[in-house]
Amino acid sequence: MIHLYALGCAPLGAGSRGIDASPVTTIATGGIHAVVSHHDEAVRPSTEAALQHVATIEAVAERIDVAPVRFGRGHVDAAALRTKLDASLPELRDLLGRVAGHVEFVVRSSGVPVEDPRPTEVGPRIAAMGAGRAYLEGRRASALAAADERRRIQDRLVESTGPLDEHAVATHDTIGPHGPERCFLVRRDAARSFTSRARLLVGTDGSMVIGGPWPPFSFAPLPVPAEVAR
Amino acid sequence: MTMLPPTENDGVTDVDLGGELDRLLEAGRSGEASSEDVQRGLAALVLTLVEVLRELMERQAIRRMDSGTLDDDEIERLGSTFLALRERLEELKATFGLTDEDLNLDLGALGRLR
Repeated sequence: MIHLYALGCAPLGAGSRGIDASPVTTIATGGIHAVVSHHDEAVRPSTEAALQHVATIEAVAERIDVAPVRFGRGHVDAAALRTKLDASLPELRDLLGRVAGHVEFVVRSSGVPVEDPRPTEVGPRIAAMGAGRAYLEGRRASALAAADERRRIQDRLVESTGPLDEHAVATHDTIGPHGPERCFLVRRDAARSFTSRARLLVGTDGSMVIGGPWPPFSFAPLPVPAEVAR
Repeated sequence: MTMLPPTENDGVTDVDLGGELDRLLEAGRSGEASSEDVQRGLAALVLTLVEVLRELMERQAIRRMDSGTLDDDEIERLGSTFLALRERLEELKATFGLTDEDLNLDLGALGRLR
């Protein structure tokens, strides 16, 4: 089974190790070099495997320019992987051109907006329609209130981190597992100065936390699906 | 303040109910956990699953309300069913001494259940 870490611009020499210390190699097709390791079975998803996946990409990125691939469940063999890659070569080349040689930073609000699991009280008109309808209307009101709160935090995040925009190649706003996030794509050689600027900015605002640098996953939505092992 | 590396950002979920069940049963077999502990643990797992399903179904129902594909009777019936299920879950949580936090599943990339 082949585990895919990233797509590279050049072949990778020997010496890199991946998940479970397996040797990392490259499989070439159409000028793209898939960074992979071979395993007897598909790598089982776990926090430890995910951390090793990210660490491998970071180590490889020190040697060749890559676009990261999110943790998947493996490709059956080299031919199957090549078939997948060949089907999307123009998009993959474009992607490599945009993100290879870059890292990602993320700034998010330290206050996590959580939807109240209890239904919000509804007005007497709706309550009079029946307890069932009142319950669902209350749940909808809770969900809408949480969505409004997320939007408010997102807007504040965009405004607060505005000074960082000019030091990034691209930005991307998203709702992460911990709430609204603003992601920054930054040239690898500018990561140190970006870190300084971000820390300076975040340091003055206790409502934000910064993450990174790490592989630019948020900017690399690969058109290659993670093959499900059968 | 610095964030942790992006495990959640990497598409891997921390949900491992099968592994949790194995650990629970093994703890019961080895005597590490009392039968009451195992019973409570099993209840937490089952109720967590029911809670996830209830949450998903409620959201789907609300989406259908918004899209206008449910009539008034259907909305009332669905809402009553969810309300009754919610009340039953509360009773079961109280019976087994479980709190909302015990059922607060980490859905990895999707965040926590609540």
